[in-house]
Amino acid sequence: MKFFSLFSPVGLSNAYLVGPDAGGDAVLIDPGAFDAPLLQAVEGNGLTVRSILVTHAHNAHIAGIRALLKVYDARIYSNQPSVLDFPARHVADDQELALGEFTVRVRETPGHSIDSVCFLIGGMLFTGDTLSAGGIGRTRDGYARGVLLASIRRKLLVLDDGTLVFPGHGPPSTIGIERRFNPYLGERL
Amino acid sequence: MAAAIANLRASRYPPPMFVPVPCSVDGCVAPALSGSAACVAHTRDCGAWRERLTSSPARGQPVRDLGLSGISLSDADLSGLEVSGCDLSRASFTRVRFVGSSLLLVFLDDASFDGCDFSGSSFQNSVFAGSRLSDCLFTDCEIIQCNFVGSRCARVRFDHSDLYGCRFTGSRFDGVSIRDCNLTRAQFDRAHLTGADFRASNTNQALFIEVDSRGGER
Repeated sequence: MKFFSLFSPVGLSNAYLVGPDAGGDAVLIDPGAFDAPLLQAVEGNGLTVRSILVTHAHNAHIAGIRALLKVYDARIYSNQPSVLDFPARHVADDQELALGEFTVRVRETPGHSIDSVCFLIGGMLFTGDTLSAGGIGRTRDGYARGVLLASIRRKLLVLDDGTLVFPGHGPPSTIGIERRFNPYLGERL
Repeated sequence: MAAAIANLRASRYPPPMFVPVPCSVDGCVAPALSGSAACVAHTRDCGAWRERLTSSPARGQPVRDLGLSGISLSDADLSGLEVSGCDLSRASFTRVRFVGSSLLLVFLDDASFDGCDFSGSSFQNSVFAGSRLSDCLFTDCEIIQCNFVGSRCARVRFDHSDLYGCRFTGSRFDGVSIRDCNLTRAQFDRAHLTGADFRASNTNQALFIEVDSRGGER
């Protein structure tokens, strides 16, 4: 597996590129920008962006899609396609997507936004703004915060401790680390 | 900050990243060492990985995509080491020199570092969460977007370093020096910063929430 983490100055967010060793169809998660480093990572490794996964439709995570679609014939996967400005396929909880040589598992995790989902590829979990190193996503009110915490507990903390966490902002982590040290996950609902 | 963002934008991890493989011993949940079917506790001869790691700087060959969870190393000079996409969780390093090293996307969670020297090194997207660091030097380093959540740092010096986007949530400091550092977007929420020295650092660009900073200076 080829794996790249790319930082976008738009919204100071992370995008992730996952592709086969031999090159070919790649999966791109949350392209907050389509810029030279991303293009270099794709083209320099013989990859083609065929699938774009959207953890949630906030600008910092989708601003690069429109430009990407002018270059690559990619399918977009989102929990709420209707809020996007471009055609996308709907994904739902527990759905499995066969994207090239990768199997992507979908976990619905509303709370930060109504359309928030996380994507699991092998032992790598892409959490968007749902869960980050030592933190959780911002919420608009106490009810949404409760929904977010419940989502994390039911859908993410059930994963193995060794599952690698790649958030939409900030450094990577693991489920085990978040379970033990994330101070927000212990809050009562 | 501009340099930090430029580095992040160019961050690129040589493929493939380590793939965790469980130890083959029944009932053991620890990850196996690369090149072995068993974890470090169930591998008789750990010399191969030790040789590979210690000879890497002299050979000029980066260490990539290895699972080396639980290894221990002491009194070694690994200056100039380049590591990327590796699992070094629960590793133990005592009096090891990593001067001028580069660590990209390295998982060092729950590791321990005693008397180690990382001065002049570069870190990106690496994970020190839950690790114990004592009497270590991280001076003149680029430590960009690294995870120190839940770590315990005693007598560690980060002076003159760039700590852009690092997370120290819930970490415990004892006599730690963070002088003249870039703390833009660094987070210290719910951290215990006893005696921490932040003089000449841009603490106004960092996030401090519910912090215990008794005896510290800013």
